[in-house]
Amino acid sequence: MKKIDPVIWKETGFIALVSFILSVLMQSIFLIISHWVVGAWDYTVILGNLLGYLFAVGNFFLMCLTVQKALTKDEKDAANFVRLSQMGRMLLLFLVALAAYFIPVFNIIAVVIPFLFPRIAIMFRPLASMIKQRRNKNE
Amino acid sequence: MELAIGIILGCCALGAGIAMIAGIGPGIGEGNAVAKACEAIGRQPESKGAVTTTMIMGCAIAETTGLYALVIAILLIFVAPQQFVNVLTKAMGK
Repeated sequence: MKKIDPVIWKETGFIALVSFILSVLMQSIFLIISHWVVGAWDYTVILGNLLGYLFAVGNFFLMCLTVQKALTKDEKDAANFVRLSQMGRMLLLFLVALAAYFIPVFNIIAVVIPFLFPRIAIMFRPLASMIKQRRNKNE
Repeated sequence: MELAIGIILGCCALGAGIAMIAGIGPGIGEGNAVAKACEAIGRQPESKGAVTTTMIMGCAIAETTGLYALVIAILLIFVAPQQFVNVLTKAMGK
Protein backbone atom coordinates (compact mmCIF):
# COMPACT_ATOMS: atom_id res chain seq x y z
CA MET A 1 0.00 0.00 0.00
CA LYS A 2 1.20 3.50 -0.83
CA LYS A 3 2.41 5.69 2.03
CA ILE A 4 -0.22 8.06 3.40
CA ASP A 5 0.62 11.75 3.02
CA PRO A 6 1.38 13.49 6.39
CA VAL A 7 -1.04 16.27 5.35
CA ILE A 8 -3.86 13.71 5.47
CA TRP A 9 -3.01 12.67 9.05
CA LYS A 10 -2.78 16.32 10.08
CA GLU A 11 -6.10 17.34 8.55
CA THR A 12 -7.90 14.21 9.78
CA GLY A 13 -6.53 14.84 13.27
CA PHE A 14 -7.85 18.40 13.21
CA ILE A 15 -11.27 17.25 11.96
CA ALA A 16 -11.38 14.50 14.60
CA LEU A 17 -10.52 16.95 17.38
CA VAL A 18 -13.10 19.59 16.41
CA SER A 19 -15.73 16.89 15.78
CA PHE A 20 -15.04 15.48 19.24
CA ILE A 21 -15.59 18.91 20.81
CA LEU A 22 -18.81 19.31 18.82
CA SER A 23 -19.92 15.83 19.93
CA VAL A 24 -19.47 16.81 23.57
CA LEU A 25 -21.48 19.96 22.84
CA MET A 26 -24.22 17.88 21.22
CA GLN A 27 -24.35 15.54 24.23
CA SER A 28 -24.75 18.49 26.55
CA ILE A 29 -27.58 19.88 24.42
CA PHE A 30 -29.34 16.49 24.55
CA LEU A 31 -28.79 16.48 28.31
CA ILE A 32 -30.32 19.95 28.67
CA ILE A 33 -33.31 18.96 26.51
CA SER A 34 -33.85 15.88 28.70
CA HIS A 35 -34.90 18.20 31.56
CA TRP A 36 -38.08 18.97 29.59
CA VAL A 37 -38.49 15.89 27.39
CA VAL A 38 -38.26 12.62 29.32
CA GLY A 39 -35.92 10.10 27.67
CA ALA A 40 -34.24 12.63 25.38
CA TRP A 41 -30.81 11.63 26.69
CA ASP A 42 -29.84 8.04 27.47
CA TYR A 43 -27.18 5.50 26.45
CA THR A 44 -28.59 5.30 22.89
CA VAL A 45 -27.58 8.94 22.32
CA ILE A 46 -23.99 8.24 23.46
CA LEU A 47 -23.69 5.11 21.31
CA GLY A 48 -25.32 6.84 18.34
CA ASN A 49 -23.00 9.81 18.70
CA LEU A 50 -19.98 7.48 18.84
CA LEU A 51 -21.09 5.64 15.69
CA GLY A 52 -21.84 8.85 13.81
CA TYR A 53 -18.55 10.45 14.91
CA LEU A 54 -16.48 7.43 13.83
CA PHE A 55 -18.12 7.28 10.41
CA ALA A 56 -17.97 11.07 9.88
CA VAL A 57 -14.21 11.13 10.58
CA GLY A 58 -13.76 7.87 8.66
CA ASN A 59 -15.61 9.34 5.69
CA PHE A 60 -13.30 12.36 5.71
CA PHE A 61 -10.23 10.11 5.94
CA LEU A 62 -11.44 7.97 3.03
CA MET A 63 -12.07 11.14 1.02
CA CYS A 64 -8.49 12.28 1.70
CA LEU A 65 -7.16 8.91 0.56
CA THR A 66 -9.29 9.16 -2.58
CA VAL A 67 -7.88 12.62 -3.37
CA GLN A 68 -4.31 11.40 -2.76
CA LYS A 69 -4.79 8.42 -5.07
CA ALA A 70 -6.69 10.45 -7.70
CA LEU A 71 -3.87 12.99 -7.97
CA THR A 72 -1.56 10.25 -9.28
CA LYS A 73 -3.95 9.33 -12.11
CA ASP A 74 -4.59 11.08 -15.40
CA GLU A 75 -7.38 13.67 -15.62
CA LYS A 76 -10.27 11.53 -16.87
CA ASP A 77 -9.50 8.55 -14.63
CA ALA A 78 -9.13 10.85 -11.61
CA ALA A 79 -12.56 12.45 -12.19
CA ASN A 80 -14.27 9.06 -12.56
CA PHE A 81 -12.42 7.66 -9.56
CA VAL A 82 -13.53 10.53 -7.33
CA ARG A 83 -17.15 10.31 -8.53
CA LEU A 84 -17.23 6.58 -7.83
CA SER A 85 -15.64 7.04 -4.42
CA GLN A 86 -18.10 9.80 -3.48
CA MET A 87 -21.05 7.59 -4.43
CA GLY A 88 -19.63 4.67 -2.45
CA ARG A 89 -19.02 6.77 0.65
CA MET A 90 -22.51 8.26 0.45
CA LEU A 91 -23.94 4.73 0.23
CA LEU A 92 -21.83 3.70 3.23
CA LEU A 93 -23.23 6.58 5.30
CA PHE A 94 -26.76 5.65 4.25
CA LEU A 95 -26.13 2.03 5.31
CA VAL A 96 -24.82 3.26 8.68
CA ALA A 97 -28.01 5.30 9.17
CA LEU A 98 -30.09 2.28 8.10
CA ALA A 99 -28.27 0.08 10.64
CA ALA A 100 -28.73 2.74 13.32
CA TYR A 101 -32.48 2.79 12.61
CA PHE A 102 -32.92 -0.97 12.83
CA ILE A 103 -30.54 -1.62 15.77
CA PRO A 104 -32.34 -0.23 18.82
CA VAL A 105 -29.20 0.67 20.78
CA PHE A 106 -28.56 3.71 18.55
CA ASN A 107 -30.47 6.99 18.48
CA ILE A 108 -30.87 7.81 14.76
CA ILE A 109 -30.70 11.59 15.26
CA ALA A 110 -27.50 11.27 17.32
CA VAL A 111 -26.03 9.17 14.49
CA VAL A 112 -26.98 11.56 11.69
CA ILE A 113 -26.00 14.92 13.23
CA PRO A 114 -22.22 14.11 13.54
CA PHE A 115 -22.09 13.56 9.76
CA LEU A 116 -22.19 17.38 9.47
CA PHE A 117 -19.41 18.03 12.00
CA PRO A 118 -16.47 17.88 9.54
CA ARG A 119 -18.02 20.80 7.61
CA ILE A 120 -18.22 22.86 10.79
CA ALA A 121 -14.63 21.85 11.60
CA ILE A 122 -13.51 23.13 8.17
CA MET A 123 -15.28 26.42 8.93
CA PHE A 124 -12.97 26.78 11.96
CA ARG A 125 -9.85 25.92 9.91
CA PRO A 126 -8.96 29.53 8.91
CA LEU A 127 -9.43 30.58 12.54
CA ALA A 128 -7.02 27.88 13.74
CA SER A 129 -4.47 28.88 11.07
CA MET A 130 -4.79 32.54 12.08
CA ILE A 131 -4.16 31.72 15.76
CA LYS A 132 -1.14 29.61 14.79
CA GLN A 133 0.27 32.42 12.61
CA ARG A 134 -0.15 34.97 15.42
CA ARG A 135 1.57 32.61 17.86
CA ASN A 136 4.48 32.18 15.42
CA LYS A 137 4.73 35.98 14.98
CA ASN A 138 4.84 36.54 18.74
CA GLU A 139 7.64 33.98 19.09
CA MET B 1 -56.99 7.20 8.33
CA GLU B 2 -55.09 4.59 6.27
CA LEU B 3 -55.29 6.82 3.22
CA ALA B 4 -53.87 9.76 5.19
CA ILE B 5 -51.02 7.61 6.53
CA GLY B 6 -50.36 6.33 3.01
CA ILE B 7 -50.20 9.90 1.67
CA ILE B 8 -47.81 10.88 4.50
CA LEU B 9 -45.49 7.93 3.80
CA GLY B 10 -45.63 8.54 0.05
CA CYS B 11 -44.85 12.24 0.41
CA CYS B 12 -41.95 11.52 2.80
CA ALA B 13 -40.48 9.00 0.36
CA LEU B 14 -40.97 11.43 -2.52
CA GLY B 15 -39.31 14.23 -0.53
CA ALA B 16 -36.36 11.98 0.33
CA GLY B 17 -35.97 11.07 -3.34
CA ILE B 18 -36.05 14.72 -4.41
CA ALA B 19 -33.55 15.63 -1.68
CA MET B 20 -31.13 13.01 -2.96
CA ILE B 21 -30.99 14.74 -6.37
CA ALA B 22 -28.58 17.09 -4.58
CA GLY B 23 -26.32 14.09 -4.01
CA ILE B 24 -25.42 13.97 -7.71
CA GLY B 25 -23.86 17.44 -7.85
CA PRO B 26 -20.97 17.01 -5.39
CA GLY B 27 -19.72 13.89 -7.18
CA ILE B 28 -19.57 15.71 -10.52
CA GLY B 29 -18.06 18.83 -8.92
CA GLU B 30 -15.40 16.91 -7.00
CA GLY B 31 -14.54 14.92 -10.09
CA ASN B 32 -14.02 18.09 -12.16
CA ALA B 33 -11.99 19.76 -9.40
CA VAL B 34 -9.67 16.76 -9.03
CA ALA B 35 -9.27 16.53 -12.80
CA LYS B 36 -8.15 20.17 -12.90
CA ALA B 37 -5.84 19.57 -9.93
CA CYS B 38 -4.21 16.68 -11.82
CA GLU B 39 -3.73 19.03 -14.76
CA ALA B 40 -2.16 21.67 -12.46
CA ILE B 41 0.21 19.12 -10.88
CA GLY B 42 1.14 17.89 -14.36
CA ARG B 43 2.14 21.46 -15.27
CA GLN B 44 3.86 22.29 -11.96
CA PRO B 45 4.87 19.11 -10.09
CA GLU B 46 6.54 21.14 -7.28
CA SER B 47 3.12 22.49 -6.21
CA LYS B 48 1.77 19.03 -5.35
CA GLY B 49 1.74 19.57 -1.55
CA ALA B 50 -0.20 22.83 -1.70
CA VAL B 51 -2.62 21.44 -4.29
CA THR B 52 -3.28 18.32 -2.18
CA THR B 53 -4.15 20.35 0.94
CA THR B 54 -6.40 22.72 -1.01
CA MET B 55 -8.06 19.79 -2.80
CA ILE B 56 -8.83 17.96 0.46
CA MET B 57 -10.50 21.03 1.94
CA GLY B 58 -12.30 21.83 -1.31
CA CYS B 59 -13.60 18.28 -1.70
CA ALA B 60 -14.76 18.20 1.92
CA ILE B 61 -16.71 21.43 1.41
CA ALA B 62 -18.16 20.25 -1.89
CA GLU B 63 -19.24 17.00 -0.32
CA THR B 64 -21.15 18.73 2.43
CA THR B 65 -23.98 19.58 0.04
CA GLY B 66 -24.44 15.89 -0.61
CA LEU B 67 -24.28 15.15 3.11
CA TYR B 68 -26.96 17.76 3.85
CA ALA B 69 -29.18 16.06 1.26
CA LEU B 70 -28.40 12.64 2.72
CA VAL B 71 -29.21 13.77 6.27
CA ILE B 72 -32.51 15.32 5.13
CA ALA B 73 -33.39 12.16 3.20
CA ILE B 74 -32.58 9.95 6.20
CA LEU B 75 -34.68 12.10 8.51
CA LEU B 76 -37.54 12.11 6.00
CA ILE B 77 -37.44 8.33 5.64
CA PHE B 78 -36.82 7.24 9.23
CA VAL B 79 -37.90 10.02 11.58
CA ALA B 80 -40.54 12.22 9.92
CA PRO B 81 -43.22 9.58 9.08
CA GLN B 82 -43.56 8.52 12.73
CA GLN B 83 -43.80 12.14 13.87
CA PHE B 84 -46.42 13.00 11.23
CA VAL B 85 -48.46 9.88 12.02
CA ASN B 86 -48.37 10.77 15.74
CA VAL B 87 -49.63 14.27 14.95
CA LEU B 88 -52.35 12.83 12.73
CA THR B 89 -53.40 10.28 15.33
CA LYS B 90 -53.61 13.01 17.99
CA ALA B 91 -55.67 15.23 15.67
CA MET B 92 -58.05 12.35 14.82
CA GLY B 93 -58.36 11.47 18.50
CA LYS B 94 -59.62 14.96 19.23
